[in-house]
Amino acid sequence: MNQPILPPEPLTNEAIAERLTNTAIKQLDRGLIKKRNLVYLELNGCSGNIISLLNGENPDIEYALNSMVNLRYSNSLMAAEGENAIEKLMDTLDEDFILAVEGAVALKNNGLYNIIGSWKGKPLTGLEAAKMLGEKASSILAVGACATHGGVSAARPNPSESVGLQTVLPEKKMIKLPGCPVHPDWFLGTLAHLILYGEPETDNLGRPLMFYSTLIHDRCPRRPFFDRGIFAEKLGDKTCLFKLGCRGPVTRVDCPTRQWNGHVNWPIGDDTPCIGCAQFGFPDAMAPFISYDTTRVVKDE
Amino acid sequence: MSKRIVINPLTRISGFMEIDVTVENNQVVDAKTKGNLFRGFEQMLIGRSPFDSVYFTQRICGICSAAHSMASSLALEDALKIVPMEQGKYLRDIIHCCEFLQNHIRHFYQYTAPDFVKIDQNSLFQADHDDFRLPPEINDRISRHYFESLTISRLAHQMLAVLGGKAPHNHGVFIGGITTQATAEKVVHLDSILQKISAFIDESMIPDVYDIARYYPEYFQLGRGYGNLLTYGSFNNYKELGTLYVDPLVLTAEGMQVFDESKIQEKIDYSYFTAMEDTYSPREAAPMPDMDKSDAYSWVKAPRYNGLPFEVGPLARLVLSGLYNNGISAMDRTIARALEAKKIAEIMKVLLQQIIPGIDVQKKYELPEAASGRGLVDTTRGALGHWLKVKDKKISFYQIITPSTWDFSTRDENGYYGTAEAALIGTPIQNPEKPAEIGRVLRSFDPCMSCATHVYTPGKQVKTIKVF
Amino acid sequence: MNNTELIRLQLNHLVTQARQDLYTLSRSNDFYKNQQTLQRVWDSLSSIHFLSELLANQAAKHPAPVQNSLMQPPATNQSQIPPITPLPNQNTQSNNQRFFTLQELATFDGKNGRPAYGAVNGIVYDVTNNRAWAAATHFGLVSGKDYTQEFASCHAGQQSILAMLPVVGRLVQ
Repeated sequence: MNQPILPPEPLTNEAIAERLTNTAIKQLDRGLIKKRNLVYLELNGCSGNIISLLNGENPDIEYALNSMVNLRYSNSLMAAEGENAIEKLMDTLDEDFILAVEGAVALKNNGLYNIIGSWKGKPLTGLEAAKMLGEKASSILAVGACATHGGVSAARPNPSESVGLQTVLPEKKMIKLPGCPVHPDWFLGTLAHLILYGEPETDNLGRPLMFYSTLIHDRCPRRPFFDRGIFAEKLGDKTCLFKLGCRGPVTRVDCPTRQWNGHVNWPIGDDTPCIGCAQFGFPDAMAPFISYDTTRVVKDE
Repeated sequence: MSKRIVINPLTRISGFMEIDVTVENNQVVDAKTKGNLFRGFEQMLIGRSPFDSVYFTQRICGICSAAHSMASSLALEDALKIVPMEQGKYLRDIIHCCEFLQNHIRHFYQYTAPDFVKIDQNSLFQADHDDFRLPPEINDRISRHYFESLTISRLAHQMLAVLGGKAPHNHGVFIGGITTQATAEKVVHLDSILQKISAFIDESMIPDVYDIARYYPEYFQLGRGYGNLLTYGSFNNYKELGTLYVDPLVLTAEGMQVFDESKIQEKIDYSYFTAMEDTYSPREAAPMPDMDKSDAYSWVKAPRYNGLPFEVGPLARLVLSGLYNNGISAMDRTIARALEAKKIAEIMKVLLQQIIPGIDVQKKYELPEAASGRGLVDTTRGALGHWLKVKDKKISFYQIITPSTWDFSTRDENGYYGTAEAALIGTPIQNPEKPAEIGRVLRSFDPCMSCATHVYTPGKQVKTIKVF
Repeated sequence: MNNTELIRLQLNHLVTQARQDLYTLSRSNDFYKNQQTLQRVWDSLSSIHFLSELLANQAAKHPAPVQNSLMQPPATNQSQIPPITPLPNQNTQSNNQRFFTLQELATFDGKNGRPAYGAVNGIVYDVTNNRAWAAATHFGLVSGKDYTQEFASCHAGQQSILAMLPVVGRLVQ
């Protein structure tokens, strides 16, 4: 309340009270973001997505934890253990929370192929947890290839009968962030949009357009080589990796421009083909990742 | 009067583990470590192109993915009879060093520290127990370092990506070494980050771990286990540099011996699998899963060397290389991890000095109709092995024994507990309602259950659900 | 590959692009998108004009092919470099009337320098340089086979995809 009061502001008690209240409300709203609760569930997967999250720089995980979300549950980071940890998970059910799930949902043996904890003395399967929390979450993010469509956990012959999250929550709308692992920017950027501005614009498969719109092929710095038919014959070559099996032409995500780990490099920059990890169908539809026998010796060059 | 304590999930590890202990008179008398997730990589790999296994097996684990790409590349080199150039080995080992540094820093601060240090910033760090003994300045200092370490471990993965393309799940490690070539700018980029990481290890991480050790000295007596140590050898076998870290060795009560890979066996007496034999060698067909099997309690199998359970990891390496001789315990393991981070940073410096820019180590590789090979590499958590067979140019067999399978193995019919189980037996529990000791001992091993529980082979229909 | 062949490849794919654009125009009502597409058709025509002049000059001056790759035609904003691209309903060109049995088709698997072919509804297409067929595979499918079923289930209602592919012959029993 340091602003000078300019006449003809009324000086009645009511007017002063009103000004005080309004200022208090404004101060409360001044924080750019109202922190929301985030539950980060890991299911049948490799935990690569949360490791990738820790690698984020814009924003970084410190900012995310301090200013964006109250991370209520993460079995990788939380101090509590055992049923105490699961209790914290269950506590969120009565509150508003965003659910982020990484890893696929194992269906075999009614979900017993992936037990994420004990609750009241009985095993809590990933399947039950996904359903219970998915029903109550205000927004759901399927993080990484396994959560979006089964990914590597569901690779042929899928011994654990793993499926993507949408399969066990068919009625729920969810934002899908494929990637193996997801790039931290895609996750934290989507989370930020959700918190600041609401649901981001997604394509017809649930992927946020701000990250997953253009094909890697259409932004690839090696495109001039493709256009001229100059192909690499082995890893380590600097020309187009198409003949080695590059899945850039069918993968829709912004790797060429965003690159990885603080923009230092990316797979094609490392002279290896894209394996389509951020496209539905990874890994079976993208196999084989490396093929030498489709290259040909280029004459007259 | 015995009390059963079940901790499920054990948080702040990689993957899902359940620990089931029986406590009598405030001492642990029985312990079972249980791996609780399962995907079946050994089955998934059959029929795929052998080259794909390098990228595919990385997805076994997110925090040590580079380790699997290394083991897979080594196994393929063995099978295809390819000898990589020394430059290729240097570059690949540099990527491996980056993964070590990332893992050890994250394991100490994000996974271990909250057990001993009160971090107040967040409800996430609200612990179950109140055994916090550090004086406020030390507590606050380590608490600050928790957050500073996030930047440092990030940088370690950034280093990895300079040569590997991206992290986790890098693209650079492959047969022959790495895919891209070193350049002058990459070398100084790596060195500049390495300097920052080395400074952090020396000035923050090592003092922090010793401070914790000072206030929790009883952990030097807890968590010993059988005391058998094993390493496949680490940063060794260089033509000109010799052995930079440790050679393949084992340590038992009978002393130190050279490691002999023919003595490795896997037992499945108490794991969710059935087979003709209860013991088999890594080159033989893996058994069938069976969640029905009575007495079985975990997806983790039981690797044995010469019939005995062994411990692998930073402590094993440091002891076997002669660089650490304080003993074997939970606290020694944690200290060893920090000291190893320093050692790895030094090794990486040496390797960086050997790099010659512009050398292309890649070739156009051809697949033979049939082949078999194995890749043994000592990595962040210990000894990792991949065994593979190729038939009709496709993978026909793939077997993986991870370090966490060694450490968190189930018990066997010969009466031996798994290594971590044995480490828990005899541990005094101050307050069975808030058993902080169990988690602390187990985390000193750096568990990775995504790694330990990957196994599967085509099975019969499983009917009953095992509820403990 | 010599210069004339390179120019011819470029011409062919400019023609293909122009055809695709005309198809798109006929289907779209979006004014702004159509403007963009029309612009691209204009650009394609200009490039085609330039390249045909270039070829004509070359033919006049150099009966033999030139080996210097610096004389490449300017890159346009287009994507593929397919070989001959007639439309499927214009099957009068004699060099596209080769008949393939399934065994013969199987040899065109894209490996070891061989082209990559695939058959849909009895017509055999060349997918060697098609951007969706990297390493002569497409979402787990290997080239050199009949994929009528797969195409119908995955690309139902997307016959235009086939219109883009160069035809190399017909599949016979």
